[in-house]
Amino acid sequence: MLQESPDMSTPNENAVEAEIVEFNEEEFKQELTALIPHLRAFSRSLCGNATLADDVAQDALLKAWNARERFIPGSNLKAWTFTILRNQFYSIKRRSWRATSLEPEVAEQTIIANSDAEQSMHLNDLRRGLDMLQDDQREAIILIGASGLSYEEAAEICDCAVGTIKSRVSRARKALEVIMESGNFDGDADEVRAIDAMDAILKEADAIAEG
Amino acid sequence: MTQKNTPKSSKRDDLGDVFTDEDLPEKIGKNLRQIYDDVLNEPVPDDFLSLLSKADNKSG
Repeated sequence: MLQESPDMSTPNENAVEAEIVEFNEEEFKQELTALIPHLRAFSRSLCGNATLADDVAQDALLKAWNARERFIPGSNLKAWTFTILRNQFYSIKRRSWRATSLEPEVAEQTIIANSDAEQSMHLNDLRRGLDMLQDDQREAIILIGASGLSYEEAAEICDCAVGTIKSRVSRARKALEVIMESGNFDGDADEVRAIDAMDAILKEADAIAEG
Repeated sequence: MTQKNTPKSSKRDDLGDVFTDEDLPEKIGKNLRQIYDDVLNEPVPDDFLSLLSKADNKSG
């Protein structure tokens, strides 16, 4: 019943005959526009780097718009756009892994955004913690812990089972706790060794979570 | 059935005040939302809005 052929090449402004729930381009655009802050926030949490994040979010926005006829009216637009953004993020990440270093920019941005220096330090620690997580755990904890989506929606976005999302979230939480507890982020000389150590810690945390 | 690994003493009180001054999981949860909300509450950059209006013209 969703098979109406979209022969809406002209925007017929005066035809206000409410027929079937058909695709309304103007409405779609409004809803998409309203989701931009969420797309940016999700993207920023995934990418870390603000500039990169906005690029990804813009790409996703444009893709969503171009694919608008594939959107099923009445279904979940937020989950749909998040799925597009996520795909976009991973395809870019595959192409240019770590092309952009995120540390300096993130640090500055946060200090500007938050007057409370100590709080922004905590946030930066957490950002770095997020950055250390495995991709699947990072996205899960952002979707569930920050963006306010349900487990079902997150599962749809990540194309996996609800139970998988649940276990990823719980592993991510544990890993972040371990990272934050051991948190020594400000030593730059020992950075490489610290990251190695963190790797070991994360594996351990993972083992604990699985256990 | 891999439940054996975890001994019964999984109560937080056991390690409670050894590491943390505050409830760490709670703090992480709060900060996670804050990271997200900080961006959510930023004004949307113009490029985003013009992106859609440009796309609109193309498809019109």
